[in-house]
Amino acid sequence: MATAVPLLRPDPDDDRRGSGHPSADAGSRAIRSTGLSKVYGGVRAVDGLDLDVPRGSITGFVGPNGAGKTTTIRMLLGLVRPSAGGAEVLGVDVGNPAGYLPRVGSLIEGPAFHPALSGRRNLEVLASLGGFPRARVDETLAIVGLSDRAGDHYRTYSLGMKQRLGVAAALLPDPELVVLDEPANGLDPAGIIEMRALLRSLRDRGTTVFVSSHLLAEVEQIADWLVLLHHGRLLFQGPIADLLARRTTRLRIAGETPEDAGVVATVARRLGYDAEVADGYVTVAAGREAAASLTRASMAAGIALTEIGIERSTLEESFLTLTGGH
Amino acid sequence: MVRAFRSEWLKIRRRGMLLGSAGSMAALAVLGVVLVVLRAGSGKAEITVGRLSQPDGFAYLMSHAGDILGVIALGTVAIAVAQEYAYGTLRTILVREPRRLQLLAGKLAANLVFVAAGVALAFVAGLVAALIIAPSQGIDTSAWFGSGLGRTLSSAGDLVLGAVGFGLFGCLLGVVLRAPAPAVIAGLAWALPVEGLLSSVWSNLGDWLPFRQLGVIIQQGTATVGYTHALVLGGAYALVACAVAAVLFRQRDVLA
Repeated sequence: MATAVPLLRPDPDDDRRGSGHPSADAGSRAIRSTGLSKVYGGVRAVDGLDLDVPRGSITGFVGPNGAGKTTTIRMLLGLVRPSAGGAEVLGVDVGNPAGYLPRVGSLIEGPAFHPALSGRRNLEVLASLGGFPRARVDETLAIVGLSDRAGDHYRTYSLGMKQRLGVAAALLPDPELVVLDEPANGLDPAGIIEMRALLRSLRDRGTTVFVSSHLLAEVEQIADWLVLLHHGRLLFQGPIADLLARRTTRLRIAGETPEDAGVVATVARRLGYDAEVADGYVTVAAGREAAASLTRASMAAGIALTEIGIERSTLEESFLTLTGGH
Repeated sequence: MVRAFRSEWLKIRRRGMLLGSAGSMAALAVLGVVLVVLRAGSGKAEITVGRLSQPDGFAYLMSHAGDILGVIALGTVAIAVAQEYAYGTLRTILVREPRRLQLLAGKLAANLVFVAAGVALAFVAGLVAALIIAPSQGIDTSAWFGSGLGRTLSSAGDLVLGAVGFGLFGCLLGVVLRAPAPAVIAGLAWALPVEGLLSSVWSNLGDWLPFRQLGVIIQQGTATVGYTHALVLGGAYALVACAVAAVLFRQRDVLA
């Protein structure tokens, strides 16, 4: 998968760009919503969402299955009508999707193409519909590394190849905003690394990348901005560094023998720290500043420490803390 | 709408569609013509050699294939519309063309042009088959191109018109049911047994049912229902079908 993305930004006067009227601060925000909600029957799939996604970022849109991510994306792409609230994408109201969708690429809920058509023909159908030049089809196939199989029927593709074709379709308009739902799904480890590099290259040339995923560890690798959703409500929104700064730090300590762990834990508790023992290690809820005192106290108790390491909680653990573990 | 038309045409012009739908129409037209001509020649059928030798003989012959061609047209369009929901491709194409009515119009236009071309091909194939086999059964075809030329050619137009009407109903079924198999089955069920059953129970009702009107158009009028009546009423039904399909397509949330 190539990471260089050929430029194709058509003439701004091209009428296929739509007739949207950007709002005052369209320059800074790719997506903005106010009280965005969707109710299906008695179920509030999305509840009062106030999104604020900066342009030129890689934004991770994360939450567990059923959190309302896909419903939110569908509302932003004009596929589903909001029950309440409003939103703007690239400065244009979502009630006027023709005003912004020519500048948006998307892959939502998995790739969807006609099985009886080749990969290339499927992209040609979309390019023709969007008014993009045919040359763009070969460019995007090259970007995702599918040029060799472009002439084969879509139904013969593996899951990873289907996913790549979906990404190629999302890149057809050389978009200002790319919305990707689980883009690494079905990719092998090398493909996942290539996908991350592709997303970074898109961000580096000014494209806003909005990645929806339930895999927080994957999002942690690439996102600059984070939106956490839970039960349809916003849990956190901001630079990912802010959430990671809230991470708790722990010390992981080992003695000469597994039995020493119990003694070390007792020492730590006497010093006022919480400590847990598992698999011959002691995990102490403390930072680097406690290492010296713990070392001295352990030595005084006749225990020689063989390992002291610092652990930070992951994004997943931060999320569980925010949600109370639910 | 032009981009939607061109985009849809890229999907249509593949071997499966050309052989499947258009090929089926031509094959069924040929089969129907051959069977009717052979039956007429045997002297055991209601349709006689004399009847087929009249100026409108070929028009009469093709009208017997009309309903079948119409049902194929209905199925072709219903599948084309419904499979966008079934494959999930609707969410992709709506991002590329969010103006839903233009998308539906372009898609429908492309499929109706294909249907019309398929019916025209079937007409030609049926005509060729008839010209080959008719003389051997004692049918004089000279009047088809003599005094009956106008009628012969206009029957092609009415076949196309009727098939297009069936196609419009196929579009409605595709949008309403959002799955190819149920859309086709529902269309077949209504076109064949249901309207037939209703007509047999209430004989006058048959003069007012939608697919019956399309059949009358194809036959260029019957003894009980005039061509103009069928044209006006069938056209009204088709317009309503289009309007309902357009409203549903435009308004409904896309969850597929």
